[in-house]
Amino acid sequence: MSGDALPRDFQGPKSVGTSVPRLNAEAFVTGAAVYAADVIPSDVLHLRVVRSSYARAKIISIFTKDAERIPGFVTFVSASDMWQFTRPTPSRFSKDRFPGPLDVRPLALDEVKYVGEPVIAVLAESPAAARLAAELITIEYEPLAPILNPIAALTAVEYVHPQWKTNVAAHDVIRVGDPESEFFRPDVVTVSGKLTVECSTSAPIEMRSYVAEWDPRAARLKIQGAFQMPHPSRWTIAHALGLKESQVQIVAQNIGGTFGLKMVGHPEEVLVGFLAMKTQRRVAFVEDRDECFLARGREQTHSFQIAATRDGRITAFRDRMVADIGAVGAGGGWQMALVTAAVMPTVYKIENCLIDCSLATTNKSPWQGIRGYGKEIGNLVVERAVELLAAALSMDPNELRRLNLNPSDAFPYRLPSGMIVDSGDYAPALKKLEGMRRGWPAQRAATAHDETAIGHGFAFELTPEGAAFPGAVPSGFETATVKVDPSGEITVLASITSPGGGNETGLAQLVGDVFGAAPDVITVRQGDTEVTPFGGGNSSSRSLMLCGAAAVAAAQDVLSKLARCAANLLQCDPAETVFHDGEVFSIRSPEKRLIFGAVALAVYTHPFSSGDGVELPLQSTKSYKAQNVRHVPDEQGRINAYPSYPYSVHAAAVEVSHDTGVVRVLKYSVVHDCGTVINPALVDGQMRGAVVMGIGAALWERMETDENGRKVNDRLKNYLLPRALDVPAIEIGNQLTPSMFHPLGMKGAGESGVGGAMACVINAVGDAIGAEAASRLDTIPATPLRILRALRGANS
Amino acid sequence: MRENTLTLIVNGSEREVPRDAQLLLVDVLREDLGLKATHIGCLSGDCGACSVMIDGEVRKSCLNLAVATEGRAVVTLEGQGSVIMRALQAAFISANAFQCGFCTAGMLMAAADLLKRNPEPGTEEIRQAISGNLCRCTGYEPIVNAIQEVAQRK
Repeated sequence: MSGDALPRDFQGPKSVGTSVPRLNAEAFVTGAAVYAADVIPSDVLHLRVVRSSYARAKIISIFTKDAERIPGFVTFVSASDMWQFTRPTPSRFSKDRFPGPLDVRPLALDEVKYVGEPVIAVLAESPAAARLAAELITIEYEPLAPILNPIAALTAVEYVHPQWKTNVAAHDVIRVGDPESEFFRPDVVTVSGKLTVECSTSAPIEMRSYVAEWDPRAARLKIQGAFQMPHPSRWTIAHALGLKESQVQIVAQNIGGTFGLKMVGHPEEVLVGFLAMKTQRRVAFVEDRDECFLARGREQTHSFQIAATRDGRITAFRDRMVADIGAVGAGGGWQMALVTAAVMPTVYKIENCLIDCSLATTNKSPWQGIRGYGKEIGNLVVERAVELLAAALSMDPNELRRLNLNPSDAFPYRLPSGMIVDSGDYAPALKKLEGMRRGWPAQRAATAHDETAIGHGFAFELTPEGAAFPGAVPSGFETATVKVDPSGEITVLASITSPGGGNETGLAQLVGDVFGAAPDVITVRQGDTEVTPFGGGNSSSRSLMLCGAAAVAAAQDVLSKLARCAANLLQCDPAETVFHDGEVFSIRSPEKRLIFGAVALAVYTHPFSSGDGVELPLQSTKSYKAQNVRHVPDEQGRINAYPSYPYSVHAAAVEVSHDTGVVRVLKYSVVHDCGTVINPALVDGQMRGAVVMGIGAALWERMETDENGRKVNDRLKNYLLPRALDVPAIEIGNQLTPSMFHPLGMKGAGESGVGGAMACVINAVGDAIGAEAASRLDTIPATPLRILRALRGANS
Repeated sequence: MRENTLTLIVNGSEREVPRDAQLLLVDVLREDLGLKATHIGCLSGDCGACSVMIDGEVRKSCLNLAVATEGRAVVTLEGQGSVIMRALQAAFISANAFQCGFCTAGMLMAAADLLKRNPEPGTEEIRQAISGNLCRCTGYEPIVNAIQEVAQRK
């Protein structure tokens, strides 16, 4: 029998679909929650990394004598010291895309590829001594001309990765229909535009830290730290250090935010492990904010064209994009640029498309994951194109959107990239959003008496989630173990981690509902490779969608065992048992009740009588593999790496000063559809955070590099995150179209919002400065200076 | 011996730590006294994750040298048992005013400081009061709502 055969309507209490508070919430508000840096013992050795000050240079010599005289200095290592004892750090993603081999090491051997690249690892007894010693190490370089311009890099004859003999790290051409011919048709209106997106960074408030401990007798390495993907990190680190995976344990405490930063492949993860083995001491690394800012992302340029008939039917779209992915490290951030290309033209039905995407490797620090994972930029480009087209057609932008949205009966539909969009209901979402502008200040132009203008902007965002790239470790599944111990405690061991989104609470709700138990009695354990089953961890808004489905399946399996035992005790059919709030009874005679824990205990203590027929153990492990993923190419040679396609539609009202170019976001509303929702408050929380991140990326966040490839921003004073006064309240409306490709109808939630916010804020700014100036606003973030330039007739 | 030690009053108790003129208050709190509720997000006074109370006013403990707080009352989240703080903590839970929780201690300090100075703040005053504290998760609105809820309940 299966759990589904149980009279589940009588089970309770039910919590799925309700906003129960976070599990273990008390720990977070009392300061008891433990983060990675909190577990660093006082007697560790402290790692400080000496980093390259050149974007591209040969390492000539290294002088360490001054450093070695610092009290507390212990040792240092260079790449050559490590070489014979380590192996290349593997990438979690397949390297098939690359033009040649990639040998990533935690320290540069003879040539540095970017400013900030680790060259020497210094160990000392205190953080201060390590820092001082690192400053006294002198590295002599022979500077080489850095490759910093991504467009020039594509055709340059000097190479960031010399063995590749090209700086084109990857190239993808996505084509559908006959876009070239469409643009030459006499009856279409064509609009061209450029969009440059500058570099931004994830900037979680908690920076990365690790502490490694080598047990020489057991020959085992334990690394605790800020790992959002513990199992992939174990695989990576074990490979790099030449250890068996069983010799490496990765433990992640609570993660103080990540937004993509704390995925796999950072050099310091391997360094702390290597140094702990070498010194037989515990070794800790704590990143500083300047180092955290080495995580680049989003930097790219687009040249796009969009064509429509005069009555507003979009016939063709093409885009040539070049992403500046920096040097390629072991992390997989470069993948984001390919996703940008693959998500276009998002929610719109456009029969003829051509998207040409080049990934240029340059002498800048490698891309690391950042929330949106490329999708935010694809949406931004499409929504800017739609907005510029509406102006050229003298149409209301939302009327143009409505005319070209994929209709509600079009699902599932295929994007030009081969992605299969599972479900949605776009036009009603837009209509709902338009009704959510009550009390908004009206649009108005600047006048001689009032230099401020008010603009409204809209944007759709299509957010493919649950990435399952072929060759990725792992690809497209998560795993959960559910067990019931003799005391009756229900425990979920989850392959996913929770860096703040609250998926532990969602798991407890899902599993609690299976057992008719309140979520707060469910124990959820995450983030320890010795405890939790294999899986990807946290990425691509997959956590609850994939691991939640796995946990439900495992819980139903365990429940069926308990039902067998309860049926023996109640002398009824297992299908008649009801599990309700810590009690078990037969639907036929509800007056006779068993305590849940007593049933569990009976399975362990009386397996030959009460537990007869129960297949032990009282534990089940299930993986859930995403549906709607296709790795076999279709007739156009394309695959589909994403199972789920949540979407949202956004609106903002902004005030723009025509004197100063300063933008204030006055109002914000969004309608969000991620299918079945387990905990509405947690999903809304994700949306609000993502929207604010998108507003920041649209207006303020900007990681600058000087002409020598040196990062300009070094602290949160000159890389501007949104603060409480910078952003308005965000009104959220909901729409629910369940995914037909998920057993619970779920789609991913977590990243949605970044791209919609970027696009609708820029569209609102465009509305406030007028269509002509808006066509010149071609660089993101839209800083005051750029807005003033656009207003005064120059490209930004 | 005394000149080698520094006596701090932390959470109502006198605590002796090694006197080191270079040490930041946040490092002494976390490393010498094991008070890990106070977090480090920048060490440059920008993020507010290390906010504590010094003589009853909210201060960033990465901008204060430990020696400069000698004899002054330092209170971290571990030592905050006031009625207002309990109410704020409950409101932070019910309003989902944290996600990763890393900024939460600092936010609670800023909120308690505000409500002591201004028992009935408006939304803009609340946003002003927490504008020295960065949160990358929530978009601030749930934090503002939580503080407002406590203010209105009083």
